[in-house]
Amino acid sequence: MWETVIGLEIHVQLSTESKLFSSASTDFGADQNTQASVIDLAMPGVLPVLNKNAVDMAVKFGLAVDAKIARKSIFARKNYFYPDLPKGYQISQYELPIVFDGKLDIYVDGTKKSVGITRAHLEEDAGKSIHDLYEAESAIDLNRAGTPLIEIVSEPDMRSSKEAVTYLKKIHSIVKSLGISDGNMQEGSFRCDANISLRKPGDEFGTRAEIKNINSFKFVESAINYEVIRQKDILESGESVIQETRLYDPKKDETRPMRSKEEANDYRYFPDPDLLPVEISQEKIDKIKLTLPELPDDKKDRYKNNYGLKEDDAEILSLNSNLSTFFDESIKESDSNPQLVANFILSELVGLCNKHNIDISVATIKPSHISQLMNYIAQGKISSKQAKDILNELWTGKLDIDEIIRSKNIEQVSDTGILMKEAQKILEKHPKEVQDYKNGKDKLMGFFVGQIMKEMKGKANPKVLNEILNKLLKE
Amino acid sequence: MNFKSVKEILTAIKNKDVSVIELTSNYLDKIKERDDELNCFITLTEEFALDKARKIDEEIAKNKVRALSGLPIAQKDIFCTKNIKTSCGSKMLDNFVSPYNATVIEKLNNAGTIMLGKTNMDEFAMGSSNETSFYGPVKNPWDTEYVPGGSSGGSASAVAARISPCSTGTDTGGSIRQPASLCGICGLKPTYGRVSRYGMIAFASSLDQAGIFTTDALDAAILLKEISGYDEKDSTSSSVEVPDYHSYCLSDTNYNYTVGIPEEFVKDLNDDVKKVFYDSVKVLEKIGCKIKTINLKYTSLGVSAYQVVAPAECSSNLSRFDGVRYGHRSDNSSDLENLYRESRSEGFGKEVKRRILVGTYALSAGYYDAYYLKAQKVRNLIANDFRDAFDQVDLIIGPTTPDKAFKIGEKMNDPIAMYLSDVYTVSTNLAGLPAMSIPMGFKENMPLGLQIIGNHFDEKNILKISHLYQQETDWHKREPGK
Amino acid sequence: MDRKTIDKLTHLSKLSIPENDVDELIINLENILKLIGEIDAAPTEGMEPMAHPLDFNQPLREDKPIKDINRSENQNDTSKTKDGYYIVPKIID
Repeated sequence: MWETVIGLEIHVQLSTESKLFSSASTDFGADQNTQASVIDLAMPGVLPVLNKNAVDMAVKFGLAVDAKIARKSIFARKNYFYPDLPKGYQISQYELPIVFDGKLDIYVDGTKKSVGITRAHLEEDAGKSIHDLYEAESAIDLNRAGTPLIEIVSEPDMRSSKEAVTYLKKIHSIVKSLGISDGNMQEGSFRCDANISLRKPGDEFGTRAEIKNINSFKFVESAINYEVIRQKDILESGESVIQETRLYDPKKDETRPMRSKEEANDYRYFPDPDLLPVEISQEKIDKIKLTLPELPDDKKDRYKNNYGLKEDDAEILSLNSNLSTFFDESIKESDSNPQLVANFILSELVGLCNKHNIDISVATIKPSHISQLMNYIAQGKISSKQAKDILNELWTGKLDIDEIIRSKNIEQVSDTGILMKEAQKILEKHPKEVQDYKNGKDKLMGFFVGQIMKEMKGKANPKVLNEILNKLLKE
Repeated sequence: MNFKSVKEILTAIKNKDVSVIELTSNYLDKIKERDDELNCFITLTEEFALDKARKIDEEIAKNKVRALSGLPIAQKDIFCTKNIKTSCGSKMLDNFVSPYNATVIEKLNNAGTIMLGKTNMDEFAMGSSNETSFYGPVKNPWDTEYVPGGSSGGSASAVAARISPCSTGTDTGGSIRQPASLCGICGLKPTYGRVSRYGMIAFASSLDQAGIFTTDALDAAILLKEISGYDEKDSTSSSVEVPDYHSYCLSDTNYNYTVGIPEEFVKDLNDDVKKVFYDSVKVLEKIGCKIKTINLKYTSLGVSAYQVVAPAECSSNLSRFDGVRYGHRSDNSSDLENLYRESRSEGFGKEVKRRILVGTYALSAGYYDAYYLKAQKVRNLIANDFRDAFDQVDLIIGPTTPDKAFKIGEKMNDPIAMYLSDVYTVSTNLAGLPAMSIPMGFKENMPLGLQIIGNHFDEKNILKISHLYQQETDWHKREPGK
Repeated sequence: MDRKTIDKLTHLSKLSIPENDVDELIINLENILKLIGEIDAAPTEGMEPMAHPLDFNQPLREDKPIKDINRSENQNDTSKTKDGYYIVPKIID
């Protein structure tokens, strides 16, 4: 009955070396106010100068989402008072953003959906206010003030939390693939605001609530789900939804109204007179286009077309740039079927990473380890079950695969002579079952394999064993 | 010791006719003698000046001479000076010591000048009489019951009183030219973007420009070269080449200027000013200029447009003065809202508050189009006016101010009257053009100024025509009390 | 220009006007608005707003960080800082 309408605003911190309008460093973790220059501190008389790299990064993003790049864009002042905003205004973009009219195709449950990207603009980040350091005072650290952000605004095209999270993950993957942001949500370099409203299908858009500063994919999903129910309850009881800003509380899994620092504010946007129009020539755009790395959609196509990966696996890999990098590296040194490599990584390695909450890019297991394991499986040296066991050993820090195989004596036996002998032994031990098999009970093959495996402590190469048994039982 | 110009001083120092320490001490003495009365200076930087003077003397002894070695100069207290108080004429910054130097200050320091002190000014450069300063009004040395003009009143009065050979100022709507006119000296506002604004406390960013006060045009030419040029720290500064203005003034190039007089600049003049002005015009004719009547038909809109754009930009520029990181913080700061409101209300004077409120209004939702946006369009109308005029003439002249100086206190209760006295100067700021005011005579023993407006980046011809005028007249040599 | 507007403007600009001065302020502001209202009749149809007097583009700065920020120099007003932080009355968010 109710249609959910979702628009997302994503603030992405750009990974430039210096700030958007000052040359102070953007390194994370410095002592308070040691990376705040006179410009960041809004000393009297200082002036902003635009970071070239930030502009290039914004252009890269625009190209990656099929958007138009403004040939001329303007910086505007957004005026309001807050201690983490030293100038009393934020330099942002208002009427002429650098990127506009883009789109992103996402796949949800196998269906393709196009989400419009209204605009992406450059703006400076604010500093940090810390309220729990001192008893009677709040502490302001302006190291972050002036860090470049792009704010990516979507059309209200999403209709479910799943679509929203898929879109979010794809944007995340794009900014990481482009190398314009480290996308670290815990450190705050990728923040999401969600605008959610409900309406009866066909009606005008309903009143929306804005959930601010959500910093994990899981929380985005939960926040939207909670909000949809909250608004549904309000609307169904005949009341109206209040247009307001809310915060998501992960501990209680609910949203609550935010005591807004901006309130109902008139920002009095006007073009910043200290900055001139930013001109971006077609030549510059073309030059930047040549430097674009492989984007998720292209990656997915490559995985499907060149490696024959299944749709779902290609999708998952393409959306996570650390994962796809790992996969590509693993394929390089391996002769195995890429689908098998993908299977192994996705089911075994990713499982381990998730269990221990470690990102694959910093795991001690490297692509070369995977390649080696996959090669050994292909050569028949080990079985896939043994590979899994070896992986667990690798995870604990023992990083020499050959050593593990030696020490655990798990090397698979593929020698036809040895296997022939073992097979004959077992078949001679179970003449009744042999007869039953020859009379049609095909299932008994599993029994024979099981018995031989037991005898050989699981080291028989199952493929070779099957061939030998088939041969013996035909006689 | 009685040097008449910057040129004389530079020559004397280079020739070792006088030591820098002698010269500097002499000016410091003059200041101490006169400044209780005139109130030109907010901060006298005596130790700093003497230290630098000694240093320059050492250099001279080794025959190292910089462009302006040993030249004493007074700096308007709107330029940030490292480790020295910069107040901008306001209680808000009474305790502010800048951690860095403005580019103009750096350039003049590097050229070898000796900063005598920071001069008094209208608070945050808002005013035309130097009566809004937290540090009290500045007096006009020609008659201390009269205003020197503003906002660069202290800088103008100091040069007029000959207690500094030159000084810096800033001009947003006439704040260099008008005090120069009322004080009988030369005041030059360069093209917007000619001089870096980095470190110059911002009033109206798209109008502000740094400039200089001197006693004659050749001195202005010498100084202009030293402060001009592209600054990578100021995105709005220009990389148009900086000519040798001084050489150009002295060169024999054919200069038969066609000079335009806008009807709108003379139609409302009182008889006294009209006579003095047309006497000046005769001098220009005598030196070979062709005089033409032109129209700048949107002159009357200038003040209105200016009083939208300047307050709007300043309302935003002054938001950083919140008592949080520097400047005045109220003792009444029980919570954040109070900290802001009380610090700002205690720190800012009436005129500043008025302009912030007007500016906030002009930018606010529902009014932006009718006020700020409209005023920015009017700027184009005015700029087109000038563009058309410069198709017909090389330079434009008129009186800088409608009348001589007024008495201290006379216009304080009539802000509108104060604004309207800017009528001949504001349009040049709105169009970003360069202009200079030079002395052209007297009314009732008080100086009057002739304004010369040039096309963008044509300071050299403004200076040259002024120099030629000053070879035929001696208004610029007159000193108060003599 | 009435009291309500003054309140809105002072709220946005974080100023407080003493009660005694409000009436005078209203008159002053009304006069100023009358003056600036003259631009209303200006023939600006089809004109672009002039954001800058000169037709230049924004110069771009190389992305090189400077590492010589001197915090104690910048924080020479120690009455406003504690342990390198700027201090304000506690904000309840």
